[in-house]
Amino acid sequence: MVSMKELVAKAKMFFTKRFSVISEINRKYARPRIKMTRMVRWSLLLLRLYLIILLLILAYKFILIVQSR
Amino acid sequence: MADKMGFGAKFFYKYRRFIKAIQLYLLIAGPGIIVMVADNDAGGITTYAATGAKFGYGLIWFLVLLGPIAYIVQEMTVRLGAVTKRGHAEAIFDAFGSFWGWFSLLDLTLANWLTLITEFIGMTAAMAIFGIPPYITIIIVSIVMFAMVLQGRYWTWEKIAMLFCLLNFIYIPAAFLVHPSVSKVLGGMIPNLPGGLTGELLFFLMANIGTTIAPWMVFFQQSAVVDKEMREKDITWARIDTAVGSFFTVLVAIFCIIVTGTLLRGINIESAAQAAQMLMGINPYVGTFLAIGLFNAGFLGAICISLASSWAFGEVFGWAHSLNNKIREAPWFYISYLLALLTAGAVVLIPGAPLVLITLFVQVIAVTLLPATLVFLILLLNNEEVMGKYKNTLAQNILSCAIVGALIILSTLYSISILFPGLFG
Repeated sequence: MVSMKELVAKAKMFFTKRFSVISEINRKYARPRIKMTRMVRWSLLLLRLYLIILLLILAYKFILIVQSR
Repeated sequence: MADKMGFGAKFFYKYRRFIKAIQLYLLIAGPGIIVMVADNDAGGITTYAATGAKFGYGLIWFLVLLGPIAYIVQEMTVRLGAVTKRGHAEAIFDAFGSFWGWFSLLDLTLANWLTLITEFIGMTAAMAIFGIPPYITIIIVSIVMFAMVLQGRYWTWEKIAMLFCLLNFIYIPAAFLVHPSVSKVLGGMIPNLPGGLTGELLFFLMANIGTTIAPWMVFFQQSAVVDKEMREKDITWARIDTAVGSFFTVLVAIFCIIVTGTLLRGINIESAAQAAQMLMGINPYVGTFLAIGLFNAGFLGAICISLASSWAFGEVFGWAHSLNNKIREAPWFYISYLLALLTAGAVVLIPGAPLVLITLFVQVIAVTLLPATLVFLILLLNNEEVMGKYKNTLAQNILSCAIVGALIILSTLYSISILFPGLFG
């Protein structure tokens, strides 16, 4: 019979292993290798703004759907 | 006599050079043709069928215009893949860091999986016309698609995929069967706005753009170029391959429009399967051709989209991710491929699954990824450290920036018009 503690420990280990792969990828690609010229900086900023606006539109649509129900 | 001999030898030399060039092209041809023909996937065929039925031959000129646009975008992926020997997902992680990397990878996975569902919807709907139940179609298709990658050679997979590309030309005999007016078809080549610039026309223009450039195409072709081990010296041939592919994709789209524009003019079409079913009543051969074409379009789209995801995962997680690997050498690559197929197929079989909603949602999700993909592509192509002498020239930059800007604006408007129907009148 496996105790609750053991189960939690096993689950923890499983997720730690999975997340360690992701952490390793994050570490490997922590610093962008591309030279941060003004053009790159502006492009990334505009991309962020674009995505934020798109997310706001999606959230607005979601609210409209919820309200209509 | 000497002159005659000289001419004969010259002719023979030129002939040999031509044959050699063809042989070389056939060796390198593949990724460009496959990605472009697969671009005419189930969603694409639906868009063309609906465009033809709505506006007749009136928008053929617009499709002709979309061919070079698709070429310019895909040519950049060829150069990037051949020079860096990296797929697009890995290139984004490496150049822009993990935030943009994860964003692109997760968005690509979601967009591809949803698109895969739409391909299965297209395939099952097409086969249903012949009385084949959806579960049989999904099982057989999944087995065939998995068997295609399991044989352990990229080259074999590519040549099988190219055979399926040939089947995409089925719309050409279908168009000849409907006896279109050649003068009217040629008239459609002249830029015009049938019925004026209405909201409906704008919607159709945006839908056609949306089917021409999809994020998965960039990821797929770059990874395929890498898996095929193309080098810088192959870029010229890979460009020709991409140009030939973009010519074929436009050709197929035009013939599809001719079919529905001739026989279903003025009818609102909601899916290519519906068009095929209607055509069965008018001309069974044409209906059959359209249904086979729709199935093939869904199949080609599905094999490319699921591979694009698996390649991207392999690149980022560091798994072996080549079609040249056996299943024992690259288990995660093949498992992720199979998993995508099975789960997407299973969704189609769920009774009452919101398939229409999924079809619309695909466009919205794709538009969150498309700008990032294209902007990263241009930034990478301008990086001298990465591209060396293969970086974009000023002319290429002007052209590609204009195209990418227009693509982003129009695909965003299309996505908003899906979310808020009637917004553009």
